Amino acid sequence: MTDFKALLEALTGAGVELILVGGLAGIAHGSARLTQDIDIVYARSDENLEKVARALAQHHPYLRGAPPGLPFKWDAATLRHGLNFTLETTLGDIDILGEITGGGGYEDLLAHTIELQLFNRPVLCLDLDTLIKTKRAAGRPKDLEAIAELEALRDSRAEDSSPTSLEETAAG
Amino acid sequence: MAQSDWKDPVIEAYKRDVDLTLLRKNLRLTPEERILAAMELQKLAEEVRRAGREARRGL
Repeated sequence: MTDFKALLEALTGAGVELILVGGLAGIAHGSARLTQDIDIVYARSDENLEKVARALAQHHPYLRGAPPGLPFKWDAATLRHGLNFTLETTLGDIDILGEITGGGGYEDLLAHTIELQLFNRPVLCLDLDTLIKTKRAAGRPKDLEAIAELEALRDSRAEDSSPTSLEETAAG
Repeated sequence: MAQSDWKDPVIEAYKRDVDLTLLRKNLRLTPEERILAAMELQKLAEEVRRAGREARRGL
């Protein structure tokens, strides 16, 4: 099981600049689909790489699915030399992404986010339209149902301006 | 038809099966509550998987 709360607290507590994307972003928007991991896009500044490395170090990140014993060193230099990392940690699985298909990197996505209050901290989350756009761009057959659900959420929001829409509950 | 009006027929077909009652229920929660509920669901799924594994071992 992935402890979404603890992972988010570890990252935001360290001041990591991140944007929540993927399945958990969908859940934040109201999706009923289950996800097993957290996907974040992180800023690639030197300062932020240090923060990401520090935030997760105590949770022993390792390459998910890789055989044990590989010479994988978790630090800012490793982050700098790579881009997207699929990791397992003692808190569960997390994908640390420098870029996503159809969306680009942190700076590109920043204008397409909403701010959520999660566990007493502000967290940027990809807005619904951009989340749909990036899932479409990924072109994975497994995302078709997810896209349909996200579009249904968008449709219902357009039809219903009741106080149940995400924007009006985003403050938590 | 304007580009913005275009709807992907594949997605529209999938949309017919989306359970709107679940979405409406979720939309009554805050984003934080939605994430906590997803964690509870994950725990349940894990427990069901464990029970399934044990049952298969007992067969």
